[in-house]
Amino acid sequence: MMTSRSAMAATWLLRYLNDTPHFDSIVGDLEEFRSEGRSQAWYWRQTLVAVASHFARDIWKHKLLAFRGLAVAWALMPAYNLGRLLAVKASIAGRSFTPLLDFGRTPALHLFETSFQEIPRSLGVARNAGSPHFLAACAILVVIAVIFGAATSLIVGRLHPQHHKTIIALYALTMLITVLPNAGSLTLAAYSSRKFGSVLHALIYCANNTALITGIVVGGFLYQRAAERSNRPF
Amino acid sequence: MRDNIGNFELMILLALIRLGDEAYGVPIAKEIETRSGREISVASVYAALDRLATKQLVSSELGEPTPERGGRAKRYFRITAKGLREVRDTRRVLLKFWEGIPKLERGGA
Repeated sequence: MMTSRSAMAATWLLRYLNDTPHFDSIVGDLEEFRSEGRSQAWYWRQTLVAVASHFARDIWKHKLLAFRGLAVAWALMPAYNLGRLLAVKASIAGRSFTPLLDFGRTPALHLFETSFQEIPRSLGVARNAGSPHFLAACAILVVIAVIFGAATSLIVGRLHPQHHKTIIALYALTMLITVLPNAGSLTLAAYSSRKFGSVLHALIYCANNTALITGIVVGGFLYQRAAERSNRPF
Repeated sequence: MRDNIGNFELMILLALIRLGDEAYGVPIAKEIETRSGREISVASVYAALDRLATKQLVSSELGEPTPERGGRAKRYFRITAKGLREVRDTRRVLLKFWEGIPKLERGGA
């Protein structure tokens, strides 16, 4: 028999479908199957298939809206990268304050990357400036990542009130897909070089982007809560 | 113009005919699982029922909530006259296709 905590987690995940016409019927049917003794693995399989298939169908039905949501979210990426670069540089101001960005050295297109190379460079300067500066810069990066993630999520949700869950989930997924290869290569580089600097770089990148994705998810929940409270699209 | 129904949709319509007044998600899913011999997703049953409802091949009504369903009501489905015609037409067409393929009928390649 399934543990109630596991059932609650699966049912919570099913809430993704709660704006579909058959949400109550699906949850009721799964509950009835469960009371007849279907396994925990079966219940989770049914939940994941229901959520994944609805997600895929919703994106397919609203391709243009999904594209617009992603375009808006990713278009804000340069503001995020410049903002956190400014914050890191400000945290070490007085020691090595340099112009915000040298576009000759860093092409503008790099501003759209989660692995924006100016950040580790500036963190290197912060590290040389001493532990307090470095720790402050790392903390600032994490806080900015959470705030940016949540803010973009709220913007995307507000632009797509009818499909906010799907488009915010898609945004988080694209972020994860973008981050994973970089995180993998940084981890591999850290493992093969075994240098403290490389390990630190990989750790900061992972922490920063985990904070960013967490922010997106948190923003999604905040939007959902606000929409439920007002009982209409936020 | 006739509606095209897929294999899974046809299975659901046949399950509705077999189950009569007791056709809601759980028995429909069980019927298909028993007869097809494979596990099916409850959500896919509802997605197919949705498509069939759009084509006006099935209708539905809400039943009473029950405790074993966590207080959630059953949604009963019923095949419409148009749905029955569709099943008959599909059967006729499929039987025509089967004619002249004796090897397959005997379980051959």
